Amino acid sequence: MTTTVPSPATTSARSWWRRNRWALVALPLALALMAAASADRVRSLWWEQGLHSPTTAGQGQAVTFHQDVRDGLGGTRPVDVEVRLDAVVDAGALPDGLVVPAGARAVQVEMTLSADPDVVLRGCSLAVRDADGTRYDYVADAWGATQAVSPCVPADAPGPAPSLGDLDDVLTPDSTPERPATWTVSPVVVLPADVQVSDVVLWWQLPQHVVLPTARG
Amino acid sequence: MSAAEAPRRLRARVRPPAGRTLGASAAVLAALVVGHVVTSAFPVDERVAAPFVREGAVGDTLDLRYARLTVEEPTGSTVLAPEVGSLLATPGVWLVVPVTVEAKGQPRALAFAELLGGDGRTYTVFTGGRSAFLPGAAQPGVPRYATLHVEVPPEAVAGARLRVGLDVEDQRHDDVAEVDLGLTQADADAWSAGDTPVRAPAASDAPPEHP
Repeated sequence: MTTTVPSPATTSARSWWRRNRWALVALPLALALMAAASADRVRSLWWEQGLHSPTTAGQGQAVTFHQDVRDGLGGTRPVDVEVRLDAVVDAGALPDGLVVPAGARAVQVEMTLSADPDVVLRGCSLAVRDADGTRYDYVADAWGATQAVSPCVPADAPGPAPSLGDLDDVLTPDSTPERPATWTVSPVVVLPADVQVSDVVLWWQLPQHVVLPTARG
Repeated sequence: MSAAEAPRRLRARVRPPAGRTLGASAAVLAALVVGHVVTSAFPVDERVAAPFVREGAVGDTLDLRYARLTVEEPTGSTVLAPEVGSLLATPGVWLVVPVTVEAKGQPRALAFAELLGGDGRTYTVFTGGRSAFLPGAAQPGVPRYATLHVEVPPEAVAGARLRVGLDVEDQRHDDVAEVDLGLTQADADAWSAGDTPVRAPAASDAPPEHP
């Protein structure tokens, strides 16, 4: 009977793999961890800078939106609201002083919202988009007009303001009336005349946002 | 552990031959040297972080990632009439450059501008201060008419190029427009001798009125 004796080179190669087996197992994991660790800016420079996490309503349907927004004091506060898009129409009566530039038109975004009167909803942003996804923002102070700073709450009863921490004690208390449980708003957005609006987007803190498709979209 | 076992365990760890150790050390050193050469001997850092410069001339519409930009004919004088405030005089030259911005994709507020002077110096244009560029946010598809004014010594005028970009802090990896303003020494001489105030109107969505 003959037996094959492994050559010293084969033994040494096999023993290298054997000796380093745990390091070899850990290598893909280490590479994955390295990629994840060096990708920390993806969140701050991309994910949180754009509209990346939508809550989409059915056409003409109300949608419930919840988000815990960072309050700048180290904590979060909840945004709980129900939104429905009623219509996007050519603005009939323009806000005082608004001059529509040549080649542009003004549309009115009619929305119905419901929320508890004690939910902070000030500081929202609104935009309309066309079918290509080009975004046209609501601008409170532009084209010669001054509209409500927050397009999602009644101008005369915007509800509670976000807390400023210790400063709250020295500030004059808010004297605006309590916000109703349900209200409508109709902010005006200026966009090029030939653009057809396919959805409306509303957000408090990116990347979460509400998408409200129009009847046409 | 008994006293007899200890020497046996030590013997089990065979030291590799000295030649192999030296060879491995030399290989590691060589790898480090090659790595150093690759990362530092070639000037790649600046190229990797450089903006994508889109060059053009006065009147050209430059198609940038975030906007279409048109730089119009500059004017100059020793006295500037800003939209608000008193006249500003300079021992050098005020250059006033009309810039039209048409945003793409979403509203954009262009915030970066600098003048590469014909004298080889770079003149920063802040969003506030004497030299300023404040176009405000442009809605996509609605052209925004802005002016930029920058205070430079007369020798910087001839051959000056204007750079405009999106982010005032960081132009890396993004489009930056670079426009040759087509200025000559004759312009520099005429403007540094003139004291007729040159207007710098505020940015607006209405086209500027041409006198």
